[in-house]
Order: sequence, then C-alpha cells, then structure tokens
Amino acid sequence: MAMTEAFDPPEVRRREQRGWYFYDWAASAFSTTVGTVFLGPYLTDIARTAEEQGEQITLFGVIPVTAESYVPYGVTLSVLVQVILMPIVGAIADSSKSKKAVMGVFAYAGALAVMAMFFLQGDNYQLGGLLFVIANACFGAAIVVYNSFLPEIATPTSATGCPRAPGRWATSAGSSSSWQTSSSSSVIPPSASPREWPCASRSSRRGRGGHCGPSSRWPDCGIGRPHRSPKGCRAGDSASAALRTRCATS
Amino acid sequence: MRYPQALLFLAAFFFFNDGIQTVIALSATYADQELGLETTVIIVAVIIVQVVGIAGALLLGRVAGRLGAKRVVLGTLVLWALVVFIAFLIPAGNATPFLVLAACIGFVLGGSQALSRSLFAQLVPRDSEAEYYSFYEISNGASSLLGPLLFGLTLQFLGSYRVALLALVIFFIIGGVLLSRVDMRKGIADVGNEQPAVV
Repeated sequence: MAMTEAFDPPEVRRREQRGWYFYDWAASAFSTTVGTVFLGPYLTDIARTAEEQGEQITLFGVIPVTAESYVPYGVTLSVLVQVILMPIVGAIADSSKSKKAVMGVFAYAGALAVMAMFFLQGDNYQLGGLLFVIANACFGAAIVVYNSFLPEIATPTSATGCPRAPGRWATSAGSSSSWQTSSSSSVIPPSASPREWPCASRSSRRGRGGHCGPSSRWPDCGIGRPHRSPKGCRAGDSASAALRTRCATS
Repeated sequence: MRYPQALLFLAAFFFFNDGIQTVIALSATYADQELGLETTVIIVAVIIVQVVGIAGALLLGRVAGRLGAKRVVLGTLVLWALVVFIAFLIPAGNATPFLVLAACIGFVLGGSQALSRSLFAQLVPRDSEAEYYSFYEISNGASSLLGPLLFGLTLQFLGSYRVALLALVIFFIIGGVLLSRVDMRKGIADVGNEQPAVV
C-alpha cells in the first residue's frame, strides 16, 4: 500500500461513499430475501413435488439426496464455489484496469441469476439449485471487489474518526452464506475506550508532520485499521500537502 | 502463522461462526418445513431479528466495555446454543415462541459478530491487518460449508429437521471451548499491540 495516497476531493469522495453504501443496501437484499427467507422453503417444496412424482432427487444428477436435504447441500455447494472463486476474483480485480467493471460483471450476473428464478415452479428443482449456486458465487465474488474499494474511498480523517458501518441499517442479520454483511456491521471495539486507543506505529513513517503527538490517539475502529482523529493533525506541523488537505476537510 | 493466539481465535471463530451462519441460513427452511409456519410469520421474524439486532449490537458493545469482549462473546455463544436447543423443543404451528426466539437471535447476532471482529483486531499485528483479515474472511466464508453439510447429512440419514438443528449445537460447543482457551492478553502482547483496560 503506498504511503502517500492521493485522495479525491471531498465531493467526489462523498459520492463514492454513497455509492458504496447503496451497493451494500442492494446486495443485502439478496442475502436476506433469497439466502435467508425465501429460497430455502420454496426450493424444498419444489424438490418435494418432484420427489412425489417419483423422481429421485439428485445433486446435479450425480449424488442422490432427499428432497428436504437438497437445500442444505445446495448451500454447502454454493459456499464451496464461493470459497474457490473469491481469491481468483480478487487477483483478477487487482490486476485489472477497472475494478468496478469486474465487480459490475459479477453483480449483474448474480442479479440475472436471481431474476431467472422467476422460472422456478412445479418441479424444476435442478434449475433452482443451479441458479442459487451461480447467484451466491457471484455475490461473494462481487463482495470481494466491493470490500477492496473501502481503503480507496474512506480517508483516515472522517468527522467521527471512523467510517460508520454502512451496512448495519441495511441488515445486520442477512449473512446467510456470505460474509460481507456481517463484516459491515462493525462497531468501535468497546474494549478500546478513548484512553486506550493505541497510537499506530506506521504514522512515524510519514515523516514530519504526520507523527503521533503525545496527546493524539488513533482509534481502532474495529475493522482492523487505525483511523486518525482530526486532533492528530496539528496546525503547526510542517505537513505534506495531502496531509494538510486531509486535516482541513475532516 | 507466527501468532498462535490469533490462529486459535480463527479456529474458534470458524466453528462458532459456522453455527451462527447455518442457523441463519436454514432457520426459514426449518420454520416452514418442520414448524409449519407461514411465510408472513417468517418475514416478521427476520424483521424482528434486524431491528433487535441493531439495539443488541450497541448494547452488547457497551457491556463488553465493562466485562470484556471475550467474555461477552462466550456468553452470546451460550445463548446461541440455548436458542438452538429451544428451537429443537418448540411445538409445531405456534408462531409466538418462534418470534421470541427471533428476538433472542437478533439480540446476540450483531453483538457476537461485531465483537468477534474487534477481538481479532486486537490479536493482529499493526501493519499486516489486510493479510490477517483475509484469513478472517476466508474463515467467515468457509464457515458456511460444514454447517449446512452436517445439517443436510443429519436430515438425510436421520430424517428429522429437529435433530439436524440440534446437531448444530456441536459447533457452538467446539467454538466456545476453543475461544475460552484463547489467551487474549498473551495474544495482544505477542503482536505488540497496546493492552486495553478490559479484554
């Protein structure tokens, strides 16, 4: 990570952050509705209908299962695909010219897969399983890229000292088979009261003007990154231009 | 990994988060298929979980400031296991106990996950957060593998949703035992972070 980061002007940054919040709001709709509430019972019913018609339920034609356990196995399979896909997508996104395009491809593919669930009726449980695996895998892949945007759009100096948990109002429970929404419900670690916030050592590498003064504290916001409170920037420091801008806009 | 306490914490997290994710993922199926509850009831339950979750996360955060995050997380794991056990016993067709359970889940859900994150944050060396958090997220994601698999296997071979749900308690037990063996003070000292007042 480059030590001197050039941040966009505040209006651009705010627009980016809003877009970031809204993506989480939209993606959470997937995990709460499809992942948690609706697909489980519905797909089980469809599989049951197929079983009643004398068909042997199988996982993609390979492994015989019962109708009721089809959905749990489907969840397992989709998470397996997710776990394999996510590091690959992360590497692709990092080495691509436009991370947003990579994220967009997976987000839209997942959305299309969910829209195709419109055709689930009667006894076509295989289609349901396939669409769910695709949708969940795309969801996970898009989230990997989505999370990687955070350091780029959130500056260390925000007014409250910590980027507020954007996803928390969208959902705190819709983390069925994904890990993103749970990671967005971050709170300031309560065990780090203001007096105990550690002073991050990496500040000393910024050179003059960026060091942690004896009275400044860097709150750890519970997402593993120290964030600098405005008090850490002192007017008299000979700071770099970027640092000055950051302090001025906090 | 050079830091055994962080590794131990990740192992504990893998297990108890597995239990949490599986309960969330399969609770609707359980409510629909086994308890015979209507979709509207399930939707109301999910909304209750969200709303109570916000209050619960904030409240548990404050409590953790007094008692220490690790103890609060262990307490939430006990509560989770209790919730699963009560869900095993609930008679079918009755919506009220299910909604009460949803409120309990909401209360512990946000708190346990947020506090796990912050516990891990303390066990991680300052300059390698991204690297260690990637392990955390892999654990977070892969957590949903074993739980539904166990649920599906138990369901297939024992034929009962209730027993399958009860089988998930094992994740909370293993996760809780491993978490109680994590020495937070030593782990924080290992990586050179500053010790908070209560841990």
